[in-house]
Amino acid sequence: MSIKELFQPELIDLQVQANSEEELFAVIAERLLELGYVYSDYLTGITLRERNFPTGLITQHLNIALPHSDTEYVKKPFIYIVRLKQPVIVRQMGDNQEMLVKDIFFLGIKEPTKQVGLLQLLITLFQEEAFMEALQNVEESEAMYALFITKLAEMEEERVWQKS
Amino acid sequence: MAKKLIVACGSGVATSTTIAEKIKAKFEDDGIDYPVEAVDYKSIMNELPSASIYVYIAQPDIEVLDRAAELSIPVFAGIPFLTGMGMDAIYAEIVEETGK
Repeated sequence: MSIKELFQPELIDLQVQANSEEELFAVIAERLLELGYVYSDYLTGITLRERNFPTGLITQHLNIALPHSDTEYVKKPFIYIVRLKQPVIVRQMGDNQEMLVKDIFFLGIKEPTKQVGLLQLLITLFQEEAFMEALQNVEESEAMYALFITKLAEMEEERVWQKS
Repeated sequence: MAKKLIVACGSGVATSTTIAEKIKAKFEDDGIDYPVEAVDYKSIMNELPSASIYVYIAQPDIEVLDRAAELSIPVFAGIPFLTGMGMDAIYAEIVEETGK
């Protein structure tokens, strides 16, 4: 499965209402379960992992979080893009400091060696000012989907150019 | 002493591999021949004795930091490689360690 196929309009919601990280995880876990992307104990898996190894990141342009469970809870790989109506408190990767976040990317990683590209891609994009600005200006799921797909296509084109 | 840079995250699922690849690529660009490996934080105590540089993603416990100090292994934060902020400074320090 290519990285591009991981992005799905049905896996984007930019109007999520949740008052805490716990609530957010419950909402998203239920949807992922309904859509057949995770097993029934995914919520436990992601909650425990985030407690032990938080995934918040204060990047130059935007605070984000990248919650991901261990692979055993994931049925098929995905990325679920969320924007909260109000920010919630999460903890930062590496130093466990509390931070506020609205933009959350749930990563469903099934085969780490094959899907490491997804995280590499996100990290590259999070450091690109223009992309992050566009991301913050997007209001609709379809537009968010288009933003990523267009960007991926551009990057692919650049790679082809570099090779030729 | 063994020469190996280890990157440790929560499960070795994604983050440590991503950062290990990033450091590997930067080493390659700079012509630095130094082994880099992603490891699982849960096995960090077993990994430390065979490492010479430790880059952490998951916040290390005190006992892990004590063990690293005991083995004289320098410890660096890996988060700047994810956020891009402060990355050049940390990378420069790591490069300096590889030459020791």
